[in-house]
Parts: sequence; structure tokens; C-alpha cells
Amino acid sequence: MVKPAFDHAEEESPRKEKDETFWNSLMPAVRTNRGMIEPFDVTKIINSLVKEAGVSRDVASEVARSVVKRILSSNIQWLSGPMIREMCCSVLAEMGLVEARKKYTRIGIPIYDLNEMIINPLQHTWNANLQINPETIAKVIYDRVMTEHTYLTLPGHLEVTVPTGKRLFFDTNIADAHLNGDNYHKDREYTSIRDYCASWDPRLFIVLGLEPDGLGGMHSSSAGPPKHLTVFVNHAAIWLASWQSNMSGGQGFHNWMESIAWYLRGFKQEEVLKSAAQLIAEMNQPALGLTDELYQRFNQIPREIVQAIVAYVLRRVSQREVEQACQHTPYIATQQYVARGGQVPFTSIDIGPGIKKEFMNEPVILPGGKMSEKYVYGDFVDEVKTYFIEFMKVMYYGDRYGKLFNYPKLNIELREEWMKPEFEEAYIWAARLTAKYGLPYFVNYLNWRKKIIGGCVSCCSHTWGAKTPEQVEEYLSGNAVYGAIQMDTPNPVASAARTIGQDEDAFFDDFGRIINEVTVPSLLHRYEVVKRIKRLGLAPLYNVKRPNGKDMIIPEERELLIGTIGFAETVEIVTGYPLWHEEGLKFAVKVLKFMNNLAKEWSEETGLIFEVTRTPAESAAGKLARILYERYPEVRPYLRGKYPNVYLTNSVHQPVDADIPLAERIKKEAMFAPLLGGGFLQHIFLEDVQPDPYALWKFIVKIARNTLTAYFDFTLDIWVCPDCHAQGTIDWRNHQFDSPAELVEFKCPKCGSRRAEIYSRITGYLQGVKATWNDPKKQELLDRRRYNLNV
Amino acid sequence: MKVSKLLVFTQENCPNCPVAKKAAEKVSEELRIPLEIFDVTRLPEELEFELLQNQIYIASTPAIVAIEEGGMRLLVLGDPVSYEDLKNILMKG
Repeated sequence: MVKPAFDHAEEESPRKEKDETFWNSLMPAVRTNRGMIEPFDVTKIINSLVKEAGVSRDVASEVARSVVKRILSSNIQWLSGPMIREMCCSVLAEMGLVEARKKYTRIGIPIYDLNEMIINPLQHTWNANLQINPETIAKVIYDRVMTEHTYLTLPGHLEVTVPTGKRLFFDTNIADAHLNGDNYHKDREYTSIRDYCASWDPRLFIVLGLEPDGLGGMHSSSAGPPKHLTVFVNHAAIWLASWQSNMSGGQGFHNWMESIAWYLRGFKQEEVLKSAAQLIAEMNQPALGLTDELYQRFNQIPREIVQAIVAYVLRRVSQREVEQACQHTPYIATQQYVARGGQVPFTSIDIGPGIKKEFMNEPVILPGGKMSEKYVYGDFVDEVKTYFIEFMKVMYYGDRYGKLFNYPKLNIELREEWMKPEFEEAYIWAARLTAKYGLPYFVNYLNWRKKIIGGCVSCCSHTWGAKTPEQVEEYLSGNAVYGAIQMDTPNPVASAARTIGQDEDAFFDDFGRIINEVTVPSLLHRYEVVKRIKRLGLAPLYNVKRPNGKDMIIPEERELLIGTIGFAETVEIVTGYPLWHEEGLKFAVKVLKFMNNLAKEWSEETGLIFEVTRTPAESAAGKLARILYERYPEVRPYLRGKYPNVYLTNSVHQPVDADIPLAERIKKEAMFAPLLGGGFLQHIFLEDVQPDPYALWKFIVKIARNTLTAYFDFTLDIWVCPDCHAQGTIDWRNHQFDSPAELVEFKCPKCGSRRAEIYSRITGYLQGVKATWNDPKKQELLDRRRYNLNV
Repeated sequence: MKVSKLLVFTQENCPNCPVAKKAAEKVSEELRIPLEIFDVTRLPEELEFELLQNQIYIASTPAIVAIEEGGMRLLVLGDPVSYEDLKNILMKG
């Protein structure tokens, strides 16, 4: 029985008031978080304990009494609000009131750590995608605080009402499961405040215009629908940047070519010629001042030549406008350090060299939303092809100094309607770009995916598609918004470690328990968070209406992604065979089908969309391996890399160092693609310094047609020097790095500058190795088996 | 390439499946190739794995696969197919 220090049972007791006044009079003043020095008031402590920690008033009084005693007995003369709170937490912990302490504690950063973060922010983050600048320092600090907040507030008990009308209850411990490495809860710093990733149709802003605040332009400004090509590009960039400020994951565009088509009409040859003809006709009207001026100025030149020059100039002006628009796009994508604490938005664009077959006869949606009576999208096939080539050229020649543009991610669509000679030149430019930098990603619609309508890609590797007639209609009419709310990755290696020596059933029991008891409630928790954000209007853009009247973000339509990681290690632990062995492959398929069955069951149970996907794992690969190394010594031999830089193989990929022929690697990864409904990206790591683009294009088509791959890339490792501006491809036949530390010491081969950087694909994007990759990923880069295509 | 068996994949409410099935049966009879018909929603696990290994996934029906000496070959996936078309595809090798 706790004896209250200040008996509040009798609130009006003169004795109580006297006691409190007495105690207060003995205490030093307090520096409060209101930025003032205030007299000590024990009642405030008691009230705040009752309100914030949820304890009874008696317990609160007991805690307060202990704290007062400690302050008096230790003769503390300097007091602050945080100090008193720390002391209260200490007393709560001593009393065994752990949950109360968790609620009452203060989230903060030790001053030493904060100083370190200010001086060396990138050493205090696992995020491999950060660029150093003052905003990033703010982000690193923010990440630390909000991650801690997430750990303390992820529910132990979750109640959620789902669209099927059911009320589901979970007793779970998402935070501990993350810290134990059983389940990787992605984007912890954003768990409480943001949705995850999205792919947009540019026709949303073509119809609606642009109001980045989501408040009708009251805080920003309101821009109308774009009427010119350059404005279209500007709107596109601001659209993605605005959404990036509201989401934690990548932002992309689908239907880019269809959307931009109408804006290229000035480039349309017949339109240019028509304009020229019109001008020439005007020139023949003596009443027009322009004509008079031209004729007077060029009166020695025959009229036909003047006409030809006018036509040429008009065409060049249009062409220049297109070139400028193409250049504008990657510059905006790579130069705005505006989102998520000083990062450039994570952007992607799905593009192809033509108009997709389902759009050929669809009327063009004009600025403001009116349907064109003059044009269908199919009228612009030549224009978008020329635009595509220009875009590839811009990306090929790089920035001012020829350095690659790493954003926007270019998702080059491979579709049957473009597998024709007239599109080959355009695709060859994509192959050139691949051969030079390894930049593009190829989205395959030539195999089992050929029937997909409304397919797109966003973020690192997530693929989406319209699944119902209503979604197809949204896709065609420019109203489709794809994306996911959250991705959580159950760790199969931990389940394999716990069930080592037991049969497969034990593994599936353990793995299923993690998915059902941690992964699923964690995903549902973020679904609840996004609903709350909408309800409270914390992200006004979420509630903006699309042209069809639906909200931009509808939580029930967004996917809940169950990620995959470490299949190579899991398979080896459970079966004793490597993943490239038939037995290994069989078990991996079995695990994927098991995950898919659970995803299906939860989709049916909740009415939400659960999908299995590839986890990008730029941070998870190292973090989970490190935990496994410490927690399960028996699995150390199965982990990749060298301690402390151990890592797990990404998703269902073959191990990067597996010594298997390239064709076998591609096929033995591609066979998993149909089982990863949420998306799967395959990498081909190249040893070639610069493969022949024509042969490379043939190889790309061969992969697309003859394997089950959904999405793939070719990765080259490029070095760039900011001092002498030289760049090149790392020729791994002549380069050797023995450790991640040696990588950091890389110097420009030409001028010796230590500032030279290496760019490679960390997972689904290209990023500077020295500046941003964490050590386990650097180790993975060194371990990668690279292939010479001999093309 | 010698074809040792034809596999036909169908499912309920598939409008093009009956015609494809008939075409496959006729080809099977004419060329004396054994034929096996599967409901794609109830595929045996072993077969599903073998298909994946051969880079075949039955994403839509009707689908027809030839088992040949070098492995499996996808002849039809999700498209209507006539007897003549199927025979031509098969003969192309």
C-alpha cells in the first residue's frame, strides 16, 4: 500500500495545502520548457504524472514525494523540467511501473550525441540516401527523435476496424520485434506522420492545376493547368516535390508520355508547317507590318527562300523547346534539396518510345479537363518518339560536366506495340544510356505480364497494375493513384535460426507467427495512422479531390506490403542447399507461396490489399545481419560479408557473390517474379567498361521475352571527379579494394583527388558510395560477382 | 524439336478456353501427342515449380505448353487460338 505524500483524498484539506506550500518553499526554482524560470510546484508534478503516465493520484503523490526528497537530500540547487522528469522516470522504474515510465519519459538526444550529429551527421544514420547539408543535420536529429517516439508508441495492443467491418484485436510488440530483428519496420521515423509511396498520373495536374499546400493555394499559391511544355515540366517537378514532403517513399509518374503528348504539338511537323504556311500567307498580305518589314529587310532574297527560312526557324524553335524541357526534367529532379530534410525527392518516370495501345484512340485530356475534339493520343506517336530520343540524349550527355543524372529513375517500358523497327532507334538510345551509366530500369510487358493494363513502377521496385474495370477506367482517365501505405519485412533468417535442426514445419510455424503477430498488425497500425492523418487534416494534400471526385489518398485502396529479405541465407540454413540449387529454389518458392497465402487470407479478412514484395533493404540488409550475428551465433557462417560488415542477401536474389553463369542467375531470380505481386527488381552487375549498345539492346529483348522477369537493370560502377571533372567506369578487372575502408580512400585516377566519388546501384537507385552507403552495403559492392556480356 | 506432350491450362468462366481446348485435342490426335488438361487454379505443386523453372507462368488462360526434349515451350498464353494457329505455332519449333 502506497502512502500518499500529499493526501489528495481530502482536496480541501488545509493540511495538504500547508504541506505542499512548505515543500515548495524549500525547493529551488525550475527552468521550464516554456522558456521561463518558475517557482517549484509539486502539484504540477502530480498532475502531469496522472495525466501523462496514467497513474493514480496516490501513486503520483508517492513518486513526487520521492523526487522532492532526493532533491532536498542531494542539495541540488539547479533544476529544470527535464531533470525533474528524469527523476520521476527513475522512481517509476524503481517502483516497477515500466509502462508508466514509457509514457512519461522524455524523448531526447544526449548533448554529446547531438554535438556529434551536428559535426558529422552521416555517421549517425543508417539511411544510405542522405546528402550532407544543414537540412540533413535537422533530419538526422528528427529521425533519431521520431524513431525513438515510434519505438515507445507502437502499440502493444492494437484494435483496428477494417473495411470488411470486422474489429480486429492484436497483442503484439512491433517495436521489440524490430529491435530483435524479427521484423523490419521500414521508415520508423515517419511511422506516425506520413503515408509511404505513390505513382501519379500527370493528368491530375493537367486537369486540376497546382496547389502544393492542398489548401487551395491559400498558403502557397494556386497555379492553373499547364498550357505550355515548360510549365508542364515545372508542374510535374513541383507535384512530386510536394508529395515527397507528405510521404516517406518514392514518388513517380505513370502515363508520362501520354500526358506530355499534347504539349509536343508545336513540335508536330504538320503543325510547324501549318504555322509556317500561315505566316507565309500573312507575309503575302501587304497590310501586315511584319510582312512589310521582312520584305523590306530581305528584299534581295527570293520569296521561296524567305519562306523556307521561316519554316526552318519555327521548327528549330519548337525543337529547342523540347530539348529544353528534356533538360529541365533531370536538373529539377536532382537539384531541389527540398524534401524529407534536405534530400532531393526520390523520383521516377515510366516512359516508352510511343503511345500505349490502350491510349491510341482515347481523346486527349486538355488543360482543365476538357476532352479534345481534335486529337486522340495516337496522333502523337512520332512526337513522343522524338521526345523520348531527346530525353535519352539529355540523360546520355549528363550534366554540365557530363556527370550522370541519378534522378528521375527512368523506367523504360518494353511493350509489344513498340517492338517494331520504327521504335528501334529510340530503344537503342536507352541501350546507349545503359551502356554508359547503367541508368535505366526496364519494365517488362513482353512475357506473362503482357496482359497487364495500368501497370507502373514506383519507389525502389514496387510494381502496380489496375485490377478491376473501375481501376482500368481510372487509369485511362488520368485518375489513377497507385502506391503503398507501409512495408514491413518479416525476417525468415531469424525463424530459420530459431528452428535450426527442426523440420520445415517448425520454420513455417515460427515465420507465420511473426507475419501474423507482428508484420500484419504493424501494417494495419500505419493504415490507422494514415486514416488519422486524413481525419485530422494533418496532410491537406491527402484530402484534395481528384478529377473524378475521389480523395487523392484513400487508405483502403493503398497496398500493405510484406517484404522479402535473406532468402538465400534462409534456404541454406533450412535445406542445406544454396538458393541456386533445385532444392533451394523449391524451398524458396514454398516460402513465397506461404507468404502469398497469408497475404491473401489477410486481404480477405480485412478487405485491404496485402501484397508480397521485394524489400529494398539498403539499411535492413546490414542491420538485420548484425542482429542475427549477435543473437544467433550458429547462423554466423551463413551471413554474407565479414564482421562487422555482415549483411543479408536482398529479397529472393541469388547471393551477389554466387559463382553462377549470368543466364542461370537471371532465370533463377526471374522465376520468383510472378510470386512477388508487389514488385521485384533484378540487377545484372556488369564488368564491361562499355558494352556495345546494339548488342545490349538485343540482350535486353532476349531477357524480356525469354524469362519471367518483371523489372531489371544493368549496374555499372561509375567514378566521377568533382575537381578535374573526369569520369569513367570502374574496371573491376584492374581494380581491387580489400575493405569498405579502402573504398573510401578511392582517388581520382586522373588527378588523384580524394573527392572523387563512385556511383553504383545500392538497391533500386544510384547513389554515391563513398558519401552515403553504409559499410555493410559497401562490403556487398565489393563482393558482387560482375559479368562480362561479351557484347 | 520433338514434342512429347501438350499441357493445356484452362479455368472456369474463361471465354476462349473451350476453343483452345478443342484445338489442342485435335492437334494432339492428329500428331499423336499425349495431352493433359489442367485447371490453372489447382495446379500440382511439382508442375507449377517445373513451369517456373522453364520460365513459364500461367498468368492468363487459355495457355498451352509443349514438353520438348530441351524443356518446356509456351505456345499460347491468354489469347484465343484455333487449330490451324496452334499447329503453326507448334511446327515453328
